[in-house]
Amino acid sequence: MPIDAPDYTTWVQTVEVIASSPTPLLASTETPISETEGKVTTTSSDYQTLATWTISAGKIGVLYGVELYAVPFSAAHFRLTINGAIQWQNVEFPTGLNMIFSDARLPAAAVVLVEGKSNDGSSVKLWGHIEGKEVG
Amino acid sequence: MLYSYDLTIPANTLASAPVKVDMPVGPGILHKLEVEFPPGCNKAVLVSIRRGLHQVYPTNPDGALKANAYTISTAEYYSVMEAPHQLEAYGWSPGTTYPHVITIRMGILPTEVLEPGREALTFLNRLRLLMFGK
Repeated sequence: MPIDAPDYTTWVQTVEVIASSPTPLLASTETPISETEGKVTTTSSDYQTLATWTISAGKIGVLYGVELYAVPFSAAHFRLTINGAIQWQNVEFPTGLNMIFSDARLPAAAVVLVEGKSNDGSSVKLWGHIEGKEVG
Repeated sequence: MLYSYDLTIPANTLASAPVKVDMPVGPGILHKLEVEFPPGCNKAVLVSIRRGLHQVYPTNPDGALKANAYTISTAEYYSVMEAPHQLEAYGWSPGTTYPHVITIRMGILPTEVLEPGREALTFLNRLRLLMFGK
């Protein structure tokens, strides 16, 4: 920091302005994400991919939420994996589920994976959906 | 007579290599000295005034004039009746980021103007004043 100031400078005021609201990003830097495999019908007890999203290189992934649906729910098990970590698996839900992740940030190359299977060998119809956006 | 000189001191002028401005004046008594430090100097700009090798201001040889937004003004009685009729201002500003301009003003008057009664004194009265002070 200088010990002096230009001649006839009686004092120097430094103002640091911190934005109180987020600066809107350019539309061209954001890409909406909506991933689903549609209806998956299976009798297999091996997990089938219902929806998957791999964050593109050089982008930041913003995860809004994941949705699940099955017919019948009693015959379906689900598994959710985010960035290599299994959040839960072999879970049976009584009804459709919308999970909110509140704009969780994910790095490039991270994978969000929604899977489902039949838990008793009977035919089950499964749906999964991932929504978010890529920024950068 | 009033003389005014500007001493421009570049940023980060070291004490070992000060800048100098010659200040020629007419013969007389230096009765008024002003050294103006503009705002921004922040006491980081130092000035001394010499006559030849002798430092005249400040009186203490190891001292230097410094200030900020202030004009050092002092009444003096310093004779420059004899040659050289010149003083020199030296300036330095170690560690500074900006150049600074210091203005030096000197009031010079003949002895008879400063002491109008002096010429009326007889030689014996001058001798008495010199010896006894009254």
